[in-house]
Amino acid sequence: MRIIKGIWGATLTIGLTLMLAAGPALAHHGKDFLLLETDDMPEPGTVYLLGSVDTNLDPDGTRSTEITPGLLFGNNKWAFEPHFHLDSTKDEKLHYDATAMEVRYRIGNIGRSEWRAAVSGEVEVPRASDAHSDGLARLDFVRTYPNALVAINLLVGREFSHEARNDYSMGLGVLTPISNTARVGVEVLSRFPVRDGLEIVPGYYTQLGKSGAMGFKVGVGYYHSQARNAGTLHVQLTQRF
Amino acid sequence: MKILQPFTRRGVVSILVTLLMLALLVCPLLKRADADTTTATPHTFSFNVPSSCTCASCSFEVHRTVKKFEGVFKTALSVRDRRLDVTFDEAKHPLSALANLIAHLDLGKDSALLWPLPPGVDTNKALAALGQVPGVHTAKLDPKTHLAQITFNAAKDDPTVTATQLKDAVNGVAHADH
Repeated sequence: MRIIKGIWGATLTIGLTLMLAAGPALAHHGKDFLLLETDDMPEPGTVYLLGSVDTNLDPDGTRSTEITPGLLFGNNKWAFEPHFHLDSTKDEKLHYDATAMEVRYRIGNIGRSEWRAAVSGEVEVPRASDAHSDGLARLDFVRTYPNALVAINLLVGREFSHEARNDYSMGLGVLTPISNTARVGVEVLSRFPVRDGLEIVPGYYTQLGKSGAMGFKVGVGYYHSQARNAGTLHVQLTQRF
Repeated sequence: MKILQPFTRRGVVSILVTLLMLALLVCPLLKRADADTTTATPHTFSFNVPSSCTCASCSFEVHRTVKKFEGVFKTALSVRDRRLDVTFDEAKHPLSALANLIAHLDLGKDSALLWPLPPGVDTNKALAALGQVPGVHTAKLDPKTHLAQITFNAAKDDPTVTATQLKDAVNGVAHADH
């Protein structure tokens, strides 16, 4: 328990320090939410280094952590995001778990409306040779309001095996600015049916440094399903080069 | 009733206090009335913002920064049309100052003021006239909208440009044509 407290404490301390260090910064192009995606594409000719830590903490103290380092690059229409998954559970130390590649395509505005759409596909190849690869397709709807960004994601996931079935999920996220560089928001990600899992994550999203090249996002949430409840912590850093 | 006796010391103090309170009450109203008399009618000006960025930071930055600019009443950004509409009163700042503010934002990179050309006017002459207004950097035609796209010089010593100057430049061509 002491170790868990230490990790959570350290993450929160780093987060708060970065929040306090946040200064005036230019806007940057990257990912706006922690769990959800938008149609925003990386600045052409720019590479982003992504790093995220997602932790689940069960009531009995069981903790599982996934660390996802990756790169993001592309142009006005396409975004490519190769990344790795490193896992750590109660029984296993942090280890390399899978390699994944995500490709996202910006569709543009839907008809004459201000709603925009994007579509993405991700394939994940596990380290273990006996395990199956899986895929995730995502349809994103996004709208920008003067004081809010709204995103809706429809997701279909499936393991590439004969007996597997499709997993459907839906996400809704809203964020609003609290200063020129910081935003707060809430993200809800639900599986279908809802009893299979629902996560609510209020988050804080900001840019750091004078150039705004670094993005920092943190969210502390709650996961509920028929099988288990858990506290969740999501931290994501984005560095633009 | 003692307090209302005008020529006693206490009476004078009471009158002064009353006058002071009245002045405090009336001054803000006068100020407001004064402000109202100097305020010109706000107009909505359109800017094209060709940036393909759709991230939250860029759009929030535009709204927050432009709204803080003195004289701005309202902003409306259409990501679909790549257009920013700003309802702006030029009483405090010229139009070119607003345009240069927008051009310095991430989303406003390569932005230009969209200026209507009256029907029937010689487009080339109108653009040339707009380009000759001191402080105007470029005046081009947007082939899609048939509006003039105007950018302004941003150096400190450059002359500022008002909407009236642009209007006069175009009207001058229209009158000459007729």
